[in-house]
Amino acid sequence: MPSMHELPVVKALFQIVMDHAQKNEAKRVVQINLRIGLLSDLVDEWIRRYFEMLAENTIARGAGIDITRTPVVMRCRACGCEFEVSRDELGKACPECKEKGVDIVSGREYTLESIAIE
Amino acid sequence: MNIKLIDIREPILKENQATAEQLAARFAEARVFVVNLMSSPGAGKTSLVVKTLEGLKHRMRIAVVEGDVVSTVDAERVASTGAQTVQINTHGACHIDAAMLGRAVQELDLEALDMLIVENVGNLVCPAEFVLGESMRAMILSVPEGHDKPLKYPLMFTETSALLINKLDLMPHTDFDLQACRDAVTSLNPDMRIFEISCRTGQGIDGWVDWLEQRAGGSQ
Repeated sequence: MPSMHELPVVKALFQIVMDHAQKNEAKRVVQINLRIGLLSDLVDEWIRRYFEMLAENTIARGAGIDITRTPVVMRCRACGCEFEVSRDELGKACPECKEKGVDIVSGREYTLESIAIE
Repeated sequence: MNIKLIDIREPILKENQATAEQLAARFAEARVFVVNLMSSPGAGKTSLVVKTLEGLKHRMRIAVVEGDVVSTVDAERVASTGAQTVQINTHGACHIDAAMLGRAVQELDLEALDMLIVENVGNLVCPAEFVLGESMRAMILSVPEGHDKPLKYPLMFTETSALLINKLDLMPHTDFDLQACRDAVTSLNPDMRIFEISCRTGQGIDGWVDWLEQRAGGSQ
């Protein structure tokens, strides 16, 4: 099913990539390395497709996109310990003190880590 | 030719974040309490906005920003209550971003308002990602959508202050499990305030309206 949700995020990404490429006088952008939290509902395939679409006729055309999905880490509000959970067990109680109630430490980031240019 | 790796480490949505922070500062300066209202399409956002305006219009000065992909149907319904309404057409985008809200807000006299309700575009994916400089996020989950939504779209439920379970009058016709829904929500977000309402019958609306007024007053 086509998904429209990725486009605004990919537009913002494309802009940052092009800004850095220009600043570094790149002839071509070869590779783009992203870190996206596992909590994000955006789909890797659509991030790639939209990037391809935006990058056509630019120096970023054909750039590879590597997406590292970062784990969801919660911090227990009761005892402060941090623990990793999968998306299926988001409501899990703290493994240390068994209390419920957590803050999300990581898992919702969208970060452009680096780009490789020629 | 050499390949060079450029270290960047920038949040992709930093521009939206920065715009949202500017907006939040303007809202704070004008003492306007801003509610970002989110839900799936058809959950009852516009109905809730209308009910909320009816409940609060004699107690507070409220304006509404209506987000819609293309039409003005919702804005017309809201404007019929007499509240000042600004329409944002997102032209296909499935959420309101901070820049769009910034443009809409230019049409309002913030100093003359106590509350601004932003009716986001119906969607459970993107609105959660785009902060608007709001004071509070509220979301509606309607009974026919099913009680399992919190675990399918966790991001929507983690940073939201109030959940309105709407269309409660349809309960007898569905398998919606209210307790399972409450358990799922509070396990994700123990601070979430949950209201069981029906915009159609008016059930639970008073409780929501009173709570919202208190929240808005407390922030000023």
